[in-house]
Amino acid sequence: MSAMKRLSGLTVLPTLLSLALAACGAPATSPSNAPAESSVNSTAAPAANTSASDIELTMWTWKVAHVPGLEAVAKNFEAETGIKVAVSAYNPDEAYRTKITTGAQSGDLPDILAYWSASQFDLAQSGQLVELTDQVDASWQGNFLAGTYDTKSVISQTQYDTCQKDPKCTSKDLQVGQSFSVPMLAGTSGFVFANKELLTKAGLDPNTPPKTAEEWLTMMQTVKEKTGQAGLVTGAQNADVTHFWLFQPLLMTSCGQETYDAIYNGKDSFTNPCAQKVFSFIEQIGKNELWLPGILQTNIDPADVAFAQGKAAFDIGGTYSLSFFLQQGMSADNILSFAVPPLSGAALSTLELGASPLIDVGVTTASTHQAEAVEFLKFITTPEQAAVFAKTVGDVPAVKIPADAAQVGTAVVGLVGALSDTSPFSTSKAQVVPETQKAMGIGLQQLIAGEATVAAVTAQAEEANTAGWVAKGGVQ
Amino acid sequence: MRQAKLRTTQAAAPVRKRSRWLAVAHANSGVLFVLPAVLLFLVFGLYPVIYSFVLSFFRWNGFSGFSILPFACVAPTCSFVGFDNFKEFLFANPITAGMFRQAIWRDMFLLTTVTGGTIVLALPIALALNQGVRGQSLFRMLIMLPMVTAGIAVYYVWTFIYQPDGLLNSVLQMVGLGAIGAKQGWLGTSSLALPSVAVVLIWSSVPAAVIFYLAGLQTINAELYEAARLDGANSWHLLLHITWPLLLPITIIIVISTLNAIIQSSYQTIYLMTNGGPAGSTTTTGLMVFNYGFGDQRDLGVASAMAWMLFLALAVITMVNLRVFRSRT
Amino acid sequence: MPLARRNISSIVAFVLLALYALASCYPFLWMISAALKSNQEVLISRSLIPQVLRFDILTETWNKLEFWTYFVNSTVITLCSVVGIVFIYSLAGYGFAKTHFWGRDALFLGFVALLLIPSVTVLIPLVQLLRSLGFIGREATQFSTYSGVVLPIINGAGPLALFLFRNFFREMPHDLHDAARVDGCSEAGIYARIYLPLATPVIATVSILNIIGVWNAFIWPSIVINKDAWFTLPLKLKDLDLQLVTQWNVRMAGSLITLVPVIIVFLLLQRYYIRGLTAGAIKG
Repeated sequence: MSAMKRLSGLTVLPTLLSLALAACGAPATSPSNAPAESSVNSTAAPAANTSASDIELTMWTWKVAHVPGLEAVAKNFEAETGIKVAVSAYNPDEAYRTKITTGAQSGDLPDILAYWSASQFDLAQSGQLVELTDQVDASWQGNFLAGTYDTKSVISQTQYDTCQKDPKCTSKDLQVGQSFSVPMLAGTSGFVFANKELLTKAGLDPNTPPKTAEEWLTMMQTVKEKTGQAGLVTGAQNADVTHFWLFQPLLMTSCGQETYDAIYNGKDSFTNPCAQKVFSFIEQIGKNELWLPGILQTNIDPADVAFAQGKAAFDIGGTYSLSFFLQQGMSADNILSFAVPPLSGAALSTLELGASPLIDVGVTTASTHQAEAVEFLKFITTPEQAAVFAKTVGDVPAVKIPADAAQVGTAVVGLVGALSDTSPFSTSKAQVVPETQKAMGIGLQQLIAGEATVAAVTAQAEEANTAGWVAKGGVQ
Repeated sequence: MRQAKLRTTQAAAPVRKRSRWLAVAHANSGVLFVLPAVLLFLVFGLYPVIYSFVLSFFRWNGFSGFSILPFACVAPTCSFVGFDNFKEFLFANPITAGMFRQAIWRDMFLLTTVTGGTIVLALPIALALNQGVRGQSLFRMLIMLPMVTAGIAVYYVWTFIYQPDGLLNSVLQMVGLGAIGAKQGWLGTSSLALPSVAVVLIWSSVPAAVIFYLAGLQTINAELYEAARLDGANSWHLLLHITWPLLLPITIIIVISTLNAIIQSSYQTIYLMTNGGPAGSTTTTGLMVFNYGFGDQRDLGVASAMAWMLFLALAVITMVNLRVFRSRT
Repeated sequence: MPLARRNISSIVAFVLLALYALASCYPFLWMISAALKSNQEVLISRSLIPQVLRFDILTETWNKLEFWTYFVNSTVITLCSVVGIVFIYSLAGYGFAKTHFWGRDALFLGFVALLLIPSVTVLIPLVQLLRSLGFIGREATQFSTYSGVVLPIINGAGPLALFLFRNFFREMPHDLHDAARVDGCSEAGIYARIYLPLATPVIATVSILNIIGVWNAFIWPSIVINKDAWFTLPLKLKDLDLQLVTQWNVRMAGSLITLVPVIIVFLLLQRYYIRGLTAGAIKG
């Protein structure tokens, strides 16, 4: 009898448990009873015939600073079409990627997605993006800056060939000419910003940029001696920053585009004297203690804040940096900007920088209002609305906008004016393999800290580049 | 129990079969206590783990084309690669392999210094709190504060503290030890960054450890101390021969929970404070897994494979630790 | 003589505690001070004392956070998780410590092993799972979404809670169990009437740890919850933070406001320690 009683007493427990859970919101039924199929069906349900005023599109981005600009455009869109667009931002980059990946799994992606330009093909291959190839007609294409939509949003022959050869490429089914997104924001790195006030204090001419890198170094030294402030700052904690924003511009001018491409593509070597000079120059900045103290624990935003506060004479950044400086309370009149100056005796005597697309926007297949979402893409890439966006955020859109300060703001006019159509970077075919990217990031940080010699860093970079191209299926 | 057995032997023949079943069921009835936990574990614990194990033999971009129930792997976003993911970071790719080996060493460094440091700090604090010091409830509150201090504030403040002109260097200067300060910042110097991160991790895991020890100290019978005192034992002896051995199960819990914290969340601390730098000196396996999972070089198969290697290494270490602890008790 | 020694050891204890307390509360003090400064001052000044005290940031942030709305969301999720954790794992802890069944120790090891598997890799399978179980997706309700948040949280907190409960129950004398058995108490009765009431310190410990953990949880809820109205306080704070482009003073004011409920609960639960501690102190 007692055994029976005990047993029955125990079987009550799970029931109690489920009651307790039900009381506070967890499902009382077992999870397997949940309607799995209905949820799958519902996502595939066709768009309901609701009137435009009931439609609310959702859009995700990772650039917090762009939200006000996007919202301004969304407001205009609503005024014109009655369709609302709600913008959400998730940052930093990794959080955004997490959100998109899990969103793709849960069928919860927004209607419109901002993505890193030229990285959207994985998403496209996975069926997450609506194909836009036929929708982006000649007149729409005419809106974009040269070298944006045509080169990075559409799959090119080179891209196709590389992917077919690379065992790790997961977008092998996509064909040449297909496109799944349109560029929204453009710009470039490789710009140096100078604090004019500090230059004046150091007795330097605040309006003349240095002609060579050596001259630039001397200016840093002068500022340091005369004012006690550091010479140079940039977000060097991010290992890619020194590599992409300082090393690459210097290497491009020092070696010329052909050799530059050959070095990265594994056909030439980082031991090439033109590359060695670049390494030595970066080493010199460290040896002369011209970096902001604690440079390797300074990320991009803190670096820009330090520059805006006058703690360093020069800051390396890009078109996107300017709006941040202004936000930090720096006056536009106090900033002198120029492209990273070439080393003396370089192959190219000046560096021209052009706009390349940075952010693309696409429509997701999960969207129940795809046509309306495409309408919004069209809307935001019209010159008028792109100008609204540009003026609000102080950054360069991937769309041809009028060079009118009243419409787009003084800062953007200045930025656009500094860009050229004949940058060696826009014709460059160099590919940075991940291994090289890692090794260079680490190596340059070691060089900055004086923890490794130029020879050691070069050797690391060479080893990585060789290994990287082997992993990619051999030098192409 | 005996009563029940008696009953079964006395029962009539037709009921015997049923009774035997009852006896087995009864002997295993304890399983009902763990049933809810097990169900939850099977669905939300074991399934994802098996999933990630299977995934470690595939290459997948993370968006679509791979699932376990029902099994699917659709080319080209997903493909079976056998042991390639493991090979990649174990030996095939010299760059990744080199980074992985170094990352494992950094993990070991963090595991030992953080668990050791936590115990070394938490035990004296708990003992001191347990002594009935003046203002102990205030102290207890203050010492628990790191637990409630919001994550992002923690990283920001510590980054300030570690800056070249930050609090740590200033304090060292003040006490005349300016020479050992970090001129380029504690997180800006390759040799100092990882120990500096370890300090933050210790700082955040001490409060929970103190709570565990305080709970443990309450279960120690005060009469044990009385008796030992009468035998002429001093405080040190008491600590060594009564407190420490009796707190050993608690210490094991602390070790395991600290290991857990390091594996589950240290990558966030590192990501926000140093992002693996400078010069890769704080790149741990956890951060590498995170970068492969959600960074710009995404490869979820490699991320899973790395996580499993890390798990294997940890499982071995934990087993050895538990054995050592057990054998001492 | 013993009195003198006791004094010395109290002084040592006092100094030790004071030093460590300083180190542990500094970042918290910094949070408070940053919440009362202008953003510019937060970035430049290293001093804890604001030049100009600004309470407007706190009140403004309070309003923008819509505190009570999101407080309710956070409370529901935290309460369900913690009640679930305490209930499920006190039961399981008892089962593992005081009863016998086939495969008990292997099963326990399985639970503990879960602690060592990096959670980054299980995010995607969990989300896929929740979707195929119908918890999340476009048609999800608040109820199903919250279940999707809570259940994996409970499971994630499981191993440590289980470890603590099992350890506690195992340390308790088995005579207690046997005596109750002789008195005709069922296993369930023994657990509910004898062991559970004695486990108050462990329940308090597990609750404190998890209330803080779940209340502050960010990554997992941010993945599962997609509707603004269903956000928890930390998610709402992040949302607010994003609209303002890193205003450190607002961020810290928001963090402080978010933390107040946790601190209150923490102070309340502390009583359970104080009772135990004073009892110990009198005996010692």
